[in-house]
Amino acid sequence: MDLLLQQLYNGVLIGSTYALVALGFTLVLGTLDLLNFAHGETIMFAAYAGLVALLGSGGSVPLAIAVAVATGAILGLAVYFGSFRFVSKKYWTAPALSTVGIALILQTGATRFWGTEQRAVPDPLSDANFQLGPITVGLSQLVILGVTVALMIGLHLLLTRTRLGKAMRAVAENHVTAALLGVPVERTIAFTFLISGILAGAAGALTSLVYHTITPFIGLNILLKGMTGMVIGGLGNVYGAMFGGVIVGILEVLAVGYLSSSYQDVLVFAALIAVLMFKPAGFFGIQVRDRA
Amino acid sequence: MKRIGQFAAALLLGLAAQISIAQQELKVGVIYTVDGAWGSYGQKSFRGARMAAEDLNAKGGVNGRKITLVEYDNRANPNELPNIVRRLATVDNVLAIIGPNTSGEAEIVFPIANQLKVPVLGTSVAKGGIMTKNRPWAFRNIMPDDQNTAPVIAQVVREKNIKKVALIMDVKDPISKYMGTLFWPGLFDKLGVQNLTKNDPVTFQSGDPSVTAQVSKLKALNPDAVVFAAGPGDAAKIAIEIRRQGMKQQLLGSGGLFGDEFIKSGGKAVEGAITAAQFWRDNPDPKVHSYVTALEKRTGETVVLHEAYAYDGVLTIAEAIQKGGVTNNPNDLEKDRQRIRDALDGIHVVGASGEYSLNPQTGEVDRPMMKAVISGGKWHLTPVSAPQSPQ
Repeated sequence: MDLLLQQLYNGVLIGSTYALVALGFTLVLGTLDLLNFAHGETIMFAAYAGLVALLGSGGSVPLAIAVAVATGAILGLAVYFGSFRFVSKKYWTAPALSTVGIALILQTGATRFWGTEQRAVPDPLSDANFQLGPITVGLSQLVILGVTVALMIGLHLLLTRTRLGKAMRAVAENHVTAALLGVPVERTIAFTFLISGILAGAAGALTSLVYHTITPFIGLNILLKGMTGMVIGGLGNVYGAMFGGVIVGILEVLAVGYLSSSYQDVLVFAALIAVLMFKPAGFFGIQVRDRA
Repeated sequence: MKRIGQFAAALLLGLAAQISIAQQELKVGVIYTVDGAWGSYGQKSFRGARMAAEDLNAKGGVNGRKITLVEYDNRANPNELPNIVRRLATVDNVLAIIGPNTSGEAEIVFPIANQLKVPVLGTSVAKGGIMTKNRPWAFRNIMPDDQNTAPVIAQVVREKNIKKVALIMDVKDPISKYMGTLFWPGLFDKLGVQNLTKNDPVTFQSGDPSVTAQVSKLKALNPDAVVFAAGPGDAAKIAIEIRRQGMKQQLLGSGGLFGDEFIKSGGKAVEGAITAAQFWRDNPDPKVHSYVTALEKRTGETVVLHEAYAYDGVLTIAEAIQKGGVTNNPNDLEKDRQRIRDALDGIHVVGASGEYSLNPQTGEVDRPMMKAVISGGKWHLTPVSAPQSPQ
């Protein structure tokens, strides 16, 4: 029982980082119906930038997160301009495929710049652990959970309480109608990519702290888990993405803890298939319909 | 007419010069990759091989002929390897092949080289049992992990009074899987050490971002020592999580962990860890020391195993070319390859990786074995005698 509680806690911790990934991904999908395949590599690249800041500052976690977030924001905008703004929308595959191109550039750039070996991410708070009943909790883990929850609340407030949030929801609903009602569509889309990039940057810094290491090849794995969380939670629904990410983390950890690591992807993707079969809109999704 | 005659003469002279140059070159194929998860090793291996060829050529080559490396990067794509090996053997007409990067890739390259009767020398291929299927044309100058590790761990188990161990294994990497499923369980059975993960292995897959769940499982088993069947980067990541979760157990690993990456990635979490080792950078032998010093002066970096072994791979082939009396006549290519293969049997080399010989029966390398302990952020090596195999 003690081990189960520890594993559930581990699952929530990992799942919260997947939730951040899913959030950034679902924002763009919800607004543009665009799959941003560069999202995983944005996370990876931002994580490396955060690591450089962490090492350069002698272990300042806040600075590492800030640099990773800034890098994520810049890359988010780069994806917008490189894959959407100036790419023909005549073919829906063109923007999506160009995000694949950006992903490859980022991954190859990272391998050339930082090498292919795993790089250690020092955790300045690694010795600060305490017992919460049977669960071993690390101070750095609490920081990670705290930042993740704060970002989720911040995103919720942004979407529900601000003009930008309203504009984003309007654009997500229908570009043409939003434009007719005076919403600056292109600027709103650019902001959406910016926020998605910020979430990717935060996810990069936090995941590298959770995983202790980083490699240039981490992006695809994280992206797939984030996408799965997004589908389980409900396509385009930010609250669903939060829920789905945590579910993926818990499933993964339970598979490793009680079956074998070989089954972790089997279990996660079996859950994905089950959701698509029996609840295709996901747990928090709305009825799927065609756009006008 | 006169002009045509002059042109034909010039053409003939040019062709003759080219043929002459071609015959002067001793072509050796090199296959590594600078891409993918093991790309850093490939970069170092390429660099080591190039420096060896440069050094040999600076001294006049082999029997007055220069060594030319014909390099191929398979871009971490195993599907490219069959074509590369065939091209090296039949188009580039190399005398021998050095490489590839990994054991999984060697399982493709070695059988084809063996079939085409081209000598092939692996410098970073450490999976146990790989050679038996690929004789008589395959050799390697890296000691397989199992052969290198058994005597070291037997000694550590005695010294540290280790009674029960828990093993964590990478099921995606062929060497780690072999070590985790065959080597380590067999060794611990032989040593009378209880393997707590024998029936319920703790596994991960290289590239898995998190190992938190695996370490929680290891912690619940409460072993005397945690044993890694993993690459250095992953093992370091696991070690960090082990210490973060408050585990103080002894960490043990195979020779595959030995190197800078394990310490660099693991930091203070890997302090006290013990592994086997075969590359001794601080080897006091004057000849080995001079090689290491010269390489480090040239690159400005610390020599690592893959670089030193690739360097010595070229030295080994060069030595075999000389010893075998290779003619380098294009019509004698098959005979020259046979001469090199025969010369590699039992060849004795002193290079940047130390002193070694290749076993004529198995194609494996005979090197000194060492125990490596991490202390103060550095490896400390001591020789271990009385090799014993668990198999």
